[in-house]
Amino acid sequence: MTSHIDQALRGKITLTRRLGSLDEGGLLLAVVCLGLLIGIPHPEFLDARSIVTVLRQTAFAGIIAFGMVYLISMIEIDLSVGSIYCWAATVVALLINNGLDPWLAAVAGVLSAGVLGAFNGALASVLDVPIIIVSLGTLSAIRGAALILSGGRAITGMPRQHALFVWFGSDWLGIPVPVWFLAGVGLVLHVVFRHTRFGAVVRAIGSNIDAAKFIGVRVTRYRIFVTAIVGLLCGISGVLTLAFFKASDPSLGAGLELQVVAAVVIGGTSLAGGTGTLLGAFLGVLLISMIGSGLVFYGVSGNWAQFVTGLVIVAAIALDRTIKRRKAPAGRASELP
Amino acid sequence: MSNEPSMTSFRLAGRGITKRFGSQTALEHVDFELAAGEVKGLLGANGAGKSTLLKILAGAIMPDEGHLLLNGKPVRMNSMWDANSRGIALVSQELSLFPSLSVRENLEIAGCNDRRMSRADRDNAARSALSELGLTVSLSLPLGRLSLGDRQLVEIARALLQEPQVLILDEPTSALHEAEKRRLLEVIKGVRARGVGVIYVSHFLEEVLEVADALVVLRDGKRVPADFKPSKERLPELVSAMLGESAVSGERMAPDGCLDPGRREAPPAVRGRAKTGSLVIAGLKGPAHLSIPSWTIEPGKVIGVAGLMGSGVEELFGILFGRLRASQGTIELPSGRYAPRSINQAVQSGVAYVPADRKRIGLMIEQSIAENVSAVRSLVQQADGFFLSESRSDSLAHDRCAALRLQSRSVRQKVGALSGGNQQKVVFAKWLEAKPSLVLLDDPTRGVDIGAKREMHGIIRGLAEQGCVVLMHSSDPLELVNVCSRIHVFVNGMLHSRLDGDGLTEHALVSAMNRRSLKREYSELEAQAV
Repeated sequence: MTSHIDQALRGKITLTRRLGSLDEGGLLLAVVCLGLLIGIPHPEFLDARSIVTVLRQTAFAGIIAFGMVYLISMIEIDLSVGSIYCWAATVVALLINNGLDPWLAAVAGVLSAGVLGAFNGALASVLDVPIIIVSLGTLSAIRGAALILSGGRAITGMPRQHALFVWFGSDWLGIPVPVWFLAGVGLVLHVVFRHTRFGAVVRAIGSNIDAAKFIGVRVTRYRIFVTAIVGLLCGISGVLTLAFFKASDPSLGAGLELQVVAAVVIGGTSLAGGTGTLLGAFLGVLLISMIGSGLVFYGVSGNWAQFVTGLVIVAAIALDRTIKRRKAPAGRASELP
Repeated sequence: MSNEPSMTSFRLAGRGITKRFGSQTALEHVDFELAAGEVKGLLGANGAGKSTLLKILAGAIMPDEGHLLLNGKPVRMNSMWDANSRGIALVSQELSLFPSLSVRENLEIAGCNDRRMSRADRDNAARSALSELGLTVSLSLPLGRLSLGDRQLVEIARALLQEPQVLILDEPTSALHEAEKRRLLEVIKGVRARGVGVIYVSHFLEEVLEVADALVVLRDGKRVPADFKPSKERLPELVSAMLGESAVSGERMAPDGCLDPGRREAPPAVRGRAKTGSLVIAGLKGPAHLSIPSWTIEPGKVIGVAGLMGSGVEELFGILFGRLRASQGTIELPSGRYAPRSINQAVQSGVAYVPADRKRIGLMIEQSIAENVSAVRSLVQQADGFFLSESRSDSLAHDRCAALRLQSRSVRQKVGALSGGNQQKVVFAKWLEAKPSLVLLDDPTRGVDIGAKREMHGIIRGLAEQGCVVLMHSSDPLELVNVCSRIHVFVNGMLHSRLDGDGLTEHALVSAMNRRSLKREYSELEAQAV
């Protein structure tokens, strides 16, 4: 990361070499390759409209994936993100249907999602187990709660003219509002992760939790804080989804957790902890969304869709790691002062 | 040369061993021989090539030139497994056991046990090997529950169970206490009597001199040609052979050291806190029968605290660092605050703790030097604000490392790539950045070569001179005697005696530490009976 910034400051380096020296370079190449693979036989894939569609799909999962980068770099995983996402959309929709002001409903939904996230972290700390174990339970408990509240039915009849739906559900400067959110949230969380004390503590906990405890880092506090952030992000994403579709469905976000974890790991965040990349997570989600659209363009039958998705993901990982391995000696040399 | 026994009488020999790593030559035409029933001490500073030679002898790596002879016959060993099956067992410095497996599984995993033996027989063999080393634990206990010292004993027992012809011990005592060391040295003598050849490597020179029949000294990848007979009188001569001539005056610099020569003579830059209060303890009672009615420790001197396992020293450090709670009593820290209730509070109140277990709790191995050095200051004391400047933290780390003479290519280098001595300097640097007023040192020079050890001692004395209260504990009594101006000895949780002035000798310390331990064993027996 720093080496390419240094080089850029010296002004010696071309854009392509900068991209090449980026850790996420391999994944970027995979995304471009996939884009061409779909776009050349089916030029309509590269239309502004379909690009916007892919980006919008990327935004909903991407916002959550940014939070997951923090968790995974602490060697934790929250599997209940899909359920919290669904909970937020359901609760907001129900509150609006019951006459609450949509803005207030949205705030309440996002906050309740944050509380659910923090609950995962707090429970894991009290029971002294990894968050993934607690979230195995909350994964179905929270979705179950959303099912009970909604009676298992989709909730429709949103006031489409209300500013919440008009603003969040539409485009701004030709780009969907959720994508602006994705960019804004991503930028803030990237800076926090790389350049603040909070991010440094998260990385320190991930790289050696015992050493972190030994210098007096309040690990429990940070764990709860990060799960709360993940919950809030699920809430934001849930509200944006509701604003776009103008309806909530109890099956919303089913399987999202694995998609998000896959995207983060494809992006280059290490399961061994201590490091993470938000740009990589974005590219990971983008890749998965592109596969989804590509299947439609190629007319792959529903029965084949999952199989092909899996193959493309494995191919992308292979391409990324091959490039990283080639680059490794050069990368080490650039560490020299 | 003509007086040497013929080649065939050697159990294991190496001729003209050369090994290069990239452009660096780790070993250059080294001859090595080990007779049956001989204990060979292998000495050398960090980076002298000891580890490389041991790895070659144990089959872990192959030499570029030269060959090995086992019982007079040339051998090519291409793996440790291969060496193992030929009767060469290695106890390595990096503990190579599996914490989540049981003691039994760890002992059997080497695979050299006789599979035809019944489980009961194997268990008996395992128990007797362990008890020979003075360890009595349940074989089904997960290894991770044992202390570091006990794990080391299990590792040695594993090697002994293979009934090797050649036993290689690399720093086998680094985590052991005095009594355990004694016992190990006795075991080695027993193994030697059975005709096993033993190669013994340790940073504790006295230990090597006591157990070794002959010595081989390596320096900069070459064998020092002189012949050294192990005797305490020749210790100074040995040290200069290991370190080169300049080392005798206490200065040793790697040729690629990143420091300008002008700074060499400067004392380590240790910025202590302005406050120079004393540590005042009154009516303290805590775990392990710890009981200190009244104790005041003034700043300015390095104070030793000594005691065997369970003597209360560990508990005292734990209480001062906020890891354990005292059941009674008051503590006033040098910074003026009271007994910390958590590590976080302790660190905020100016307490620093250099732990013995560097890899596990001392460092973040995968992070850079700069990230480790700034960890306490910026993450816990929050001295750098919310937004962290990488260039500022790099330059602070660079200055601190230069003052401690840490040798590295850059502060962006990963800590894991440094030698043990330099890693320990990172730990010191990290705590110095926190500007402590009370410094707790638990075996601060473990696994560090003698040159770096000397530098550490300078740093520790510097800390005291800057006005910190410094408490030091060490598994090496001689080190305590050399570094501390006064030593308090704990026995069974009580302050038992105080050594200073002429009474400050290794002999006095060891006997004070072991006093009344018989009585304690007796009272433990009584307790069990009840």
